Amino acid sequence: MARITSPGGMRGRLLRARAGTQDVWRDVIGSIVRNGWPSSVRGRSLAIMNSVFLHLHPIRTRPDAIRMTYTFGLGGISFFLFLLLTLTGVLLMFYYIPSSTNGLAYQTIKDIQERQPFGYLLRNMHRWGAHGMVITVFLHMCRVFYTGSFRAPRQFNWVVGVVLLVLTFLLSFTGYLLPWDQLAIWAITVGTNMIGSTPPPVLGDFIHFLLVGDFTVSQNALIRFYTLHVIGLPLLLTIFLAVHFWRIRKDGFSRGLTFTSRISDSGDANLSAGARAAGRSRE
Amino acid sequence: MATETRPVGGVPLKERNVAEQKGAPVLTSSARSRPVSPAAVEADTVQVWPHLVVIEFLAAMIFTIMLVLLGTLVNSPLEGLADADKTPNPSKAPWYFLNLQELLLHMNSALAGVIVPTVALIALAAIPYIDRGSTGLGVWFYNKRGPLVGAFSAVYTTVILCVLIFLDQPTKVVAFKDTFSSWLKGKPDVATEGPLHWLTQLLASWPFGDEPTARGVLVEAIMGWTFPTVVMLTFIVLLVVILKRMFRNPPLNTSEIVIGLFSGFVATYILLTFVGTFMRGPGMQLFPPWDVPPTDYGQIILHMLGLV
Repeated sequence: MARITSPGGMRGRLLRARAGTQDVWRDVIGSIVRNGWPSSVRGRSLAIMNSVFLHLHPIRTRPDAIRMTYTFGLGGISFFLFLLLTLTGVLLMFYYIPSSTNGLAYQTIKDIQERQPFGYLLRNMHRWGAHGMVITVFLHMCRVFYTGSFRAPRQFNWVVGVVLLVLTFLLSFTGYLLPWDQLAIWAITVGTNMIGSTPPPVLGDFIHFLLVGDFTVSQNALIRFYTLHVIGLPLLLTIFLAVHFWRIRKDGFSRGLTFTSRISDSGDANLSAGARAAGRSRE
Repeated sequence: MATETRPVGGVPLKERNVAEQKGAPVLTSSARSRPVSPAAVEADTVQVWPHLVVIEFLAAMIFTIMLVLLGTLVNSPLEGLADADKTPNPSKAPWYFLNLQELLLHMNSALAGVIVPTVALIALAAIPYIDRGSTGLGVWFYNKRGPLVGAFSAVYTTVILCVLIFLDQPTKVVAFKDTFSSWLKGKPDVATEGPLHWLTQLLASWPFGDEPTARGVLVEAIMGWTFPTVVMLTFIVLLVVILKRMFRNPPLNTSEIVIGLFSGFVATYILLTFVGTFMRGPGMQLFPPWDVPPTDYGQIILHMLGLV
C-alpha cells in the first residue's frame, strides 16, 4: 500500500493517520471477506467456495434447476422458517418458565405477551411460523414427489425427508403444550391418548407413560415436552437436515446436474448418470 | 441418437427429457466417454452467486416481512389456565393431527391413531423403492397423463371420503338437520342414526348370550377393526383398478399408479384435516362449515378471512 508521505506538518500527519486507519480497516474487512465484492466470474465462484454458509451451494447450476415454477423455493423456505423459529424460540426461552406450579408457565406466556417489549409479536411470529413450517414442509414433499425428484440416486434423501416431516410434526406438537392453557393440555391429552392406544395395551400404556411421565398431562409431561421441544428434537432435526443438505449437494439439484461432483470424481464422471443406468437395467 | 459425441452440458433439458422418456441413455454414454469440457459446462449453467443467492435472499426477506405482518395483525390464541378437571367440548388435537382424530371417530383408536398413520408413513418412505423407474426425474407430473391420473385420484378420494363420513354419522347428523331439514323429512332413521350406526346397533342386539363385554368385543372387532380395514383397502384397490381401466393405451406403469396413490393420500390428508377443523363441533358432531360453533383454529382462520 502506497503511503501518503508528501505533505508535512499537521495536515500531513492527519492524512497519514487517516491512511493508516484505512489500511487497518481494509485488513479487518479483508480478513473476514477474503475476496472483496464478487465482481468477476472468479470472484463469484470464490464467494461461494470460501464461505462456510454459502459453500453448501454448488458454484454453477443449470438455470432450469432453480426456476421458481420448478421448486417454488419450498425447501429453502422451510429451512428459513426453522432458523426464524430457532431465533424467536431462543428469545422466548429467556422469559418462559416450564412449571405448572401456580400456573407459572401460563403466567410467563401472559407476561411475554403483555409486559415484554414486542413480546406479543415474538410469540405470534413463533406460533404462525411453526404452522407455516408444517405447511411448507408438506408442500415441499408434494413438490419433490410430483417432479420425480425422489428417483435414483436420491431415494435415501426422500426417506430422510420423510423423517424430517415427522420431526417437524413432533416439534410443533411438543411446542403446543407449552402455553399451558386449556387449548394446550387438551390437545396434548387427545394426541397422547391416540399414541397411547398402540396395541397391545401394555405397550400402549408404556409409550403413553414414557411421553407423559404420569397418568394425565401434568408437570412431568410439561418438562418432557419442553426439553424435547427446545433441545432434543431441534438437535435431531439439525442432524437429519445436515444429511438432507449434504445429499442434495452431492447428488445435485434434481433438474440439471451439478458439475463439481463430476470434476472431483474425475473419469467416472456423473454419479447420477451411473445410478440411472443401474436403475434402467433393473427395470 | 448421436449422443456419443454430445457434451453433457450441451443437451437442452427439453430434448433430454424427450430422449429419456424414449428410454435413451442420453447422459451416460457421453459421461462415460470423456470428462466434460469446462466451456460446455459454462455455456449451459449460471453462477449460483448471484442467480440463486439473490432468490434465497429475497425469499428470506419476503417471508420475514410476511411473518412480522401476520404476527402484528393476528394474535395467537391463549385460553384460560390449564385445568385437568374441565374438559372442553370439543377437545381437539393440533390441526395437523385432526385428520387422525377424524379417523378416530370411524374406527378403533389403535387402528386410527397408530396403525394407519404408521402404515402411511412407511408407504410414503418406500415410494422410491416401489417406483424404481428413472424416467420423469425433474419433470412436473411425470408425463402428459400424470396430471390427469393425479386429478382423477384426488376427486375420487374426496367424493368417496365425503360419502363415507356422511354415512358413518351415529346420531351426529342431527347437526345437519337444520340446514337440510326439508330434504331429511320422512327419513328419520337415516337422519338421526346413520346407516352404519344402525348396523352397529343390530350387531349389539345380536343374541349373543347375556354377556355385555363379549358383545362389546364382538361389535368392536367387526365395526372397529374389520369393517374399516376392509373399506379402506377396498377403495384403495378400487382406485387402482379404475385408473388402470381409464388409462389403457398404453397401460399405466408403476410410476403413474404411484402418482394416483400419492394424490389420494394428499387428498385424504387435506379433506380429513378440513372436516376435523371446520366441520366438527361439540361432541365431535358433524356440522356444515358455515354453522359450526366456534372452535379454536376454525374460528381464527374464518376470522382472518373476514367471514365471522
